[in-house]
Amino acid sequence: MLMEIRDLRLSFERDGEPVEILHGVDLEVAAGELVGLVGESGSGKSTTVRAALRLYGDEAALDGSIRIDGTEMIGAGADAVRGVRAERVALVQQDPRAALNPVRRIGDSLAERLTRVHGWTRQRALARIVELLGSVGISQPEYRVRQYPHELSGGMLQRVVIAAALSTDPKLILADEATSALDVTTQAEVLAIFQRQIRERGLGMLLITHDLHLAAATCDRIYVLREGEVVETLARPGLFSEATHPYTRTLIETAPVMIRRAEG
Amino acid sequence: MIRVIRRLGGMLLTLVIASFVIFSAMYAAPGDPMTFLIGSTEDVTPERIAAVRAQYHLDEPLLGQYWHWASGVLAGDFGESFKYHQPVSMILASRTPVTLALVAYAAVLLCIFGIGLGIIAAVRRRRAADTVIVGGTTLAGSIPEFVLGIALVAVFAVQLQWFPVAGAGSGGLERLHALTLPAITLSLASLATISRVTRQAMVEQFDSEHVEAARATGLRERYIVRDHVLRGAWGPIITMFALVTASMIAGTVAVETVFGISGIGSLLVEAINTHDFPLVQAVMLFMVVAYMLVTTIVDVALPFLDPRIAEQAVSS
Amino acid sequence: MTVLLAPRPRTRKKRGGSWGFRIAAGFLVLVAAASAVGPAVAPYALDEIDFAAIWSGPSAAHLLGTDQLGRDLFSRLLIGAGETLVGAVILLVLATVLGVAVGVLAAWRGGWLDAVLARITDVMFAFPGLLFVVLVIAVFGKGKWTAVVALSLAYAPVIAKYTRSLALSEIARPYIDAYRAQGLGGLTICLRGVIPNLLPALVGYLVVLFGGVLMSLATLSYLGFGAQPPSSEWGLMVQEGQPGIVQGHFLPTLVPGAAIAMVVVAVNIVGVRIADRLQARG
Repeated sequence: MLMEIRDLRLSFERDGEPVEILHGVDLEVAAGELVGLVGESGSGKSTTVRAALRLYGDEAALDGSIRIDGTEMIGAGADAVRGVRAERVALVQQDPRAALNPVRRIGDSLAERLTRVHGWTRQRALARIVELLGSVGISQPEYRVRQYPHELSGGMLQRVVIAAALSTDPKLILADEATSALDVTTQAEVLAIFQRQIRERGLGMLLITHDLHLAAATCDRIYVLREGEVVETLARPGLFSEATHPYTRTLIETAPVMIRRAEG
Repeated sequence: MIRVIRRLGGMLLTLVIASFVIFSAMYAAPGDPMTFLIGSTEDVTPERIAAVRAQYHLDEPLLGQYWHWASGVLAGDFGESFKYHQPVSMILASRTPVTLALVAYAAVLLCIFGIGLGIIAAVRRRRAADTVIVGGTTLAGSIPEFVLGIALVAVFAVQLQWFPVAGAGSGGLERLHALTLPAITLSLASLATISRVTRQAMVEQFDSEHVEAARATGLRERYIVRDHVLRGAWGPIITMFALVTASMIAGTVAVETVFGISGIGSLLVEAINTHDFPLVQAVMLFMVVAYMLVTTIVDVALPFLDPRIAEQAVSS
Repeated sequence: MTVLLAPRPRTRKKRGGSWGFRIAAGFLVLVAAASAVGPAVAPYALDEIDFAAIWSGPSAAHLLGTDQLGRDLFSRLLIGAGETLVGAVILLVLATVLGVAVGVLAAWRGGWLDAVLARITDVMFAFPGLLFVVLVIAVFGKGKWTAVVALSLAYAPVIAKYTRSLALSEIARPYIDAYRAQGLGGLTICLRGVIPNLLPALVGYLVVLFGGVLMSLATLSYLGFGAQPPSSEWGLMVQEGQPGIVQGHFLPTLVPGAAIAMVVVAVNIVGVRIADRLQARG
């Protein structure tokens, strides 16, 4: 099991009072799986993922268990956490433009994790990056590495960010609304890239999205999150017929149906 | 490029208008300019009247007078001081170095403590140090400079006798020593602004997604601060620092008076007290030009310093 | 951008935020009271010179001691409260009236009027700090009211600029068009619609500005350009007391200085809180 979250509780302090945001979340992701975490805005999807990587500081209180590739994240020391972030997991955020440092060239931004964190030489890092950029479908990667983020389109930047995530050979990818900022066609392409990488490398991936139909079309398993708890777990292909929780049914009914992809 | 030229053109126009205001202010005075310039009634002699008329070309129309003065200024001639009977440019030249030394000293202090405290407050945000720094600097900024200066003199010069009570010392280490309390006074008022801007810029970076992305790759915190947070933050910081330093030029008027320093700040006060209008005009012009120069340079350089502004400029 | 579902909590800066506010507000009330009744309750007169008692320390007869002319410090402080504050208030009112009028006009009319006003503002901003005021005083002579008028002229552009930007966003709102459609004239719309709606933000801004106004006026008096002797305006008191510190007489210069500082701090604390409240409501 790549990631196992058991009874995760998270509370923030607001005006001196602790406010619980996650009320005992349970989920797991195994190697070779594309798992979806679906819910409305504010349901706690992003919070869960960030908590898993311990990206919250002292302002959040965590309880429960988060195991990533065998390492318990809650209560782990800074070095252990950094190790997991460096070796096991990669995070893909929603807005690629916000995820990259605007004052640095793309090549430098991507190379940083390889040279600083993994101790590679710059040449080796750049070679790997160019190779990866090509494999995610970016043209002229040797030229792209010298460009700044504002020179690329949103779709291309998203591919760049995916390439960045893959560059450290993680076992688990956490994609936080990674396709929400893209148009439908690009969305489909990006998901295809994800699925291919999962197959080829045996990765596990948690895809966070508010788009139920997208999840239904692509994921092997779906967790439905509502107000900080998992209310339903669904396995393909019975999404629409097997969903029993009234909340899930509401999501299905209110989600805009774009293409008949659920059947696909 | 066009932007730069437009900015410079705007600055020049404003400068010309401001200098005109400075020059023609004497016409705003009650009575006629001659009466105003002569000022005290003690030495109203025919020779005096003739001298003043000649220096200011009062026979000519206003624009002509302004032209004489402005062209003189551009050539380095600010006329003659009524009180000292010496070329104003000489007086300026002799007193400017002290003021520059004072402002430079204050700028260094501001850099070290203002930015330093801001960084500490940002790194330790939402904790005790942050509150103390923000509260403390705001408090210091609420005290008028002259009050602060006198308080410092009372405690550190008179009571503890660590520093001289007044004056700027004569050169070298002695000057540095004598200018310490004045420099502290001058910089303390702006400490709040700089540390706040620094803290703000850094916190913005800390909370930004690209810093989070970097952290998620397992990068050590110190590299995150150095390569991501500071990198993005130093633009706004430097901008504000330049602006604040420029406005310290005007702050020297009060500080030099408190500490009895013979720079151009106190020169302005003296000149007003002695009705020495050529001197007043010259000092004002000098300060205005210096201030405009710095603010325009900052304005022009802004896109290079602050990446967000650069992005807007590129995409527009 | 990913919406962080739970925003990073903004901690209240001070746990005792409310008692800080209460102390500051209480202090200001005290000072205001002193301004009003100072001259009446002060034990000594403003210029009661007593050469036998110069530079004397605190005693039963003189609560805070005396200055270089034997005048009672405590009385002068009380009487000077009014002078210091009233001047600042009047100047802020003048600057606001002028600034709001100009700012709203520039926002409403736009065009060349706006451009001219922008240029005038630029020229005034070219004078850093108190320089413009100093020029006016150099021309019109020293004196409390000259200083007040000069400072109000200097602050008017600042207020005008802020008002203009507030007015611009206000004018863009639909209800303004509704007024226009009803055939109401520009002046009426501005008075009835625009100005009342930008008051909350404006008042918040002004309260925060007041601290700076106080400091500017006090600085002018200290330099000898504002209030003149025998006035006991606080800035002037600081100046007159300064020569005494070399002989170790700290009170005559530090007490009025501290008074100014405390009022400014109190104004800032109260002002920021008021500004926040108004912002939240608006």
